[in-house]
Order: sequence, then C-alpha cells, then structure tokens
Amino acid sequence: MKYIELTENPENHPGVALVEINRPEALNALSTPLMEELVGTLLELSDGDKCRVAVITGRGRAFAAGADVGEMAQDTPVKKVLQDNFRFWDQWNLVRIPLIGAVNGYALGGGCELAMACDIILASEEATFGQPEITLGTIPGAGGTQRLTRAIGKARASEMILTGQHFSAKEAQDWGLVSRILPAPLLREESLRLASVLAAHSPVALRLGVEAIRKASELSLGEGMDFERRNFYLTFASEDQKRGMAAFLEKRTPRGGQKNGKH
Amino acid sequence: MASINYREEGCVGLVTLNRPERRNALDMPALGELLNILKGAKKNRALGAIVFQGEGEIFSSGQDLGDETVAGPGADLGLALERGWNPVVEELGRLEKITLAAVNGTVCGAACSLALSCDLVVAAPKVKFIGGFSQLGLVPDSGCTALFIQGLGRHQALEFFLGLRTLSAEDLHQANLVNRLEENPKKEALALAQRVGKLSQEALVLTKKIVRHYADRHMEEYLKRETMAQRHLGTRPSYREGLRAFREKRSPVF
Repeated sequence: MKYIELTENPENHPGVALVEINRPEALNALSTPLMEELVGTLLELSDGDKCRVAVITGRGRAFAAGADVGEMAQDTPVKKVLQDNFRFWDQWNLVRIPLIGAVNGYALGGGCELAMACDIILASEEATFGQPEITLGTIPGAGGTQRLTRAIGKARASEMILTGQHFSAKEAQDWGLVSRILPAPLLREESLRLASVLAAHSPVALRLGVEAIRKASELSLGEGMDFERRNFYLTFASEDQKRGMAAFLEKRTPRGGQKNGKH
Repeated sequence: MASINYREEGCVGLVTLNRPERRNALDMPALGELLNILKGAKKNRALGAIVFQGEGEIFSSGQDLGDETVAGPGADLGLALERGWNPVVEELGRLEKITLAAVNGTVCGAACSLALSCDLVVAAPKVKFIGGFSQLGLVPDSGCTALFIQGLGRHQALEFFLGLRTLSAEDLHQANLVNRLEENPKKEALALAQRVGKLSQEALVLTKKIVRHYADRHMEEYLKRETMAQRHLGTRPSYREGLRAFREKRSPVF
C-alpha cells in the first residue's frame, strides 16, 4: 500500500489493527486513491476474522487535513457525478468493527469528517478540528453538515461550518465530539489500550452494539429502540453471551477466550 | 539589532527581550520573532528548558503602544492579541520544554502574562507588576485575567485589574504565582534551567502536561473573552484618551 500503513496486533494488542494514514508531505490529504486504500483496508479487516477493533491515526503533524483540493479544483458537477469520488466514503458503513479515531493533529474538512465517521474519537491536546470548506467557496461533502450537527448541536455546528473557523481539542471535548483528550506522547499507546479493552469483549456483541449505536443518528427513538432490542435478542444466539452470563453468575471472569467474529 | 536575542547553551535556551529603548516593550514584529523562537526551540530535542529575561533593569513593559497595529487609526486590538500575544502565551503552556521567567525588573501589562505563563517564575523581591490596562480604558488581556484570578482570587485580582494597587514580586510569591524570590533572578533561573535540562525529558514533558492540563483548563476561554472585550474597547474614545494620556505622561480623563 502506498498511503496506508497497517499494523496488525501492534505492540502485542491481539485483535487490534493500527491503521496509519501515511502521506505526511501532503498533511495526509484524503485523495481518492488514499481513500480507496483506507476503506479497502478497513473492509478487509472487518471481513476477516482476526481483527476486532481498528485504530485510525495519522503520521506527522496532521490526522488528515481535508480532501485533496488540488485534485478537485477544476472539477465540474458532471465530472463529479461521473467520477463519484465519494464511493469509497459510501462504503464506510460496511465496516462492521468498531473504529477508534486517534486524532493526532489537524482534522480539517475531510479529516474532520473522517474522524467523525469513527465510533470513538480520542484526540491529542494538539489536535485541531474544523470544517473550513466555506473559505474555499464550498461546503462539507462527506458528512460534515450532518455528523457535526448531530455531535455538537445545530447552533455550534452552524457557527463552525459557516465561519470555517477551527476549534481546539478542548472545545471538541467540551462539546462532546471527542471522548477524551490526551497528551500527544500518550495518544498512540492509550488508543491501543482502549482498543484492546474493546477487543477483549465478544466480537458479536461489539458488532451488534456498534451497529445499534450507529443507528441512533439515523432512526427515530422508537425505531432505534426496536433495532436495539432485536440486536440484544440476537446476542443470545452467541456462545459469548452464554459464557459471559454463566461466568457472571459464578462470580468469575469468562475463561477460554471469546469466540471470534465468524460463526 | 534583533528585538529578541536568543541563544542556546547545551540543554538551555535563553530568550532576552532586547528593546531597552522601548523599555523592552514588544511590537508585532517582536512578538512574531518570539513565536518563531519558541517554534524553533520546540524542534530541538536536546533542549530541556527555556529562560526568559529582559535586557537591562526591566523585564518588559508589555505591548509597545507606539506600534501602529494597536495605536494607529482603526487599530484592531483583537487582532493584535490573536496574532501577537495570545499565540505566545498559549505556546508557553503547550511547549514541551520547561519555561522559566527570570523577572529582573518591572513588568507591565501583557508582559505580566508573558512572565506568569512560564512554568517557573523567579523574581527579584522588589520588582513591580503593573497592570496598566485600566489607565488605557482597557481590560486585562493575554491571559492576565486567568492567571491573576487563579493566584489572587477574584477580589484581589479585580483590585489589581482596576489599577487600585500594584503588586510586588513578594505579593505574587505569597499568592503562589512566583516560585522564588532572588536578588539575582537571572542567575537563579539559569541554574534551575540547567538542573531541569538534565532530567528525563520524557518525564518532565508529561509532568508539565499534567500540571498544565489542570491549571490551563479555562485559559482558552479567558483569552477569547479578553480578546472580544479588547477589540470592542479598542474602538472607543476612552482608549484614545488613555493613549494620549500615556504619551503626555498625565492621568487620563475618561
């Protein structure tokens, strides 16, 4: 791969994959070939039976500083329709494993949208977020107006998107966009540690849980509750649930490891 | 001659504010130089600590009021803070080095924040800290509000902000805003910096990060509020009178 570095079981964290965006000379700008590699990598991890959680981070100063402006500056709407550069973004929902975004630096435009497409976002104290598309005479195109609005509320999202101004990791945390901020030297290690906590749980429950949580921003409360209930029932088809509850009743932790994703 | 001198001795960087003819006041170019020095120092892994001192008998008299950016017609004080002082103050908190202020003489206005934003502050006991903002028809800025409130509590901080009292390094030592009182702060700060430079850099960076994460948790918001207020006040007649009075060395009549 040219733009993505994949490390499976990094630093002895089994079931975890570290996916690093490695185009630092362009501040990890998300060109179409890069997105193809990134989404391809995630789909492969999700479809395989070794990886239970993936951590996505950026090499260098940026997490990802937006889409590749050079690539699109001269585009016409017709060209955009025919090229359908967002097709890789559209496959994101086919990734069934939990994704942890470890935002190490700039997460701007497409980079901010990429972070928001993750299930959990951790950020370094130095991270900077923003949807600056308006300053280029356009608007977010990969979910910025939808996901930021859901994450931080309409008023704040409108202010950020319509001014194009950046916001800090601390603001992102105060507003509920990121779950934790960490000193830069600890981001990688703590993200992997968090991933390994998830990876120790039932892979079936993880997938069903992630699926239900993602539905929360798509369905009405009633439909979402219904969806959750069915996934809840479905976990009772897994051996992990039987083992987990038996262990709980016997006041011990489940033994013998958990079953992997494919049943 | 450079407005800011910078040299490195082993694991210690030494920043000297060097505009004695302006009582070491800083204009926009000087603040730019300062920020560049900090950004350069950040990349030098061998460096563990950075000492800030003033050339001569004064530390710094803060913002240079002769600078057109703040004194010219249509001056935007908000912009001066956003591009000049605030980034410097924020970088002092963020920088993965221990920053030390060697407060050798009087400190005015925004320079109070420059000194107190450092991780460690060594000052000569009789040194005066002067706000000066109220005499210009302005609010304290560059993080001064956050820093003084944290040390002095809101009642005494307000007294200082309103220009009803000046503070000595001794007062600030009592308020836990100054680490050490030394007759020769430059020498003492350098000695401390050399000791810090020999520590495990990884450990000192994380120690600083933890301390500042707690201490600076409201700084960003204070900076924004100060900047907003200053931008407004900078357009008011009171500020013009404050500037005139400052130049004519008289009390302002608001």
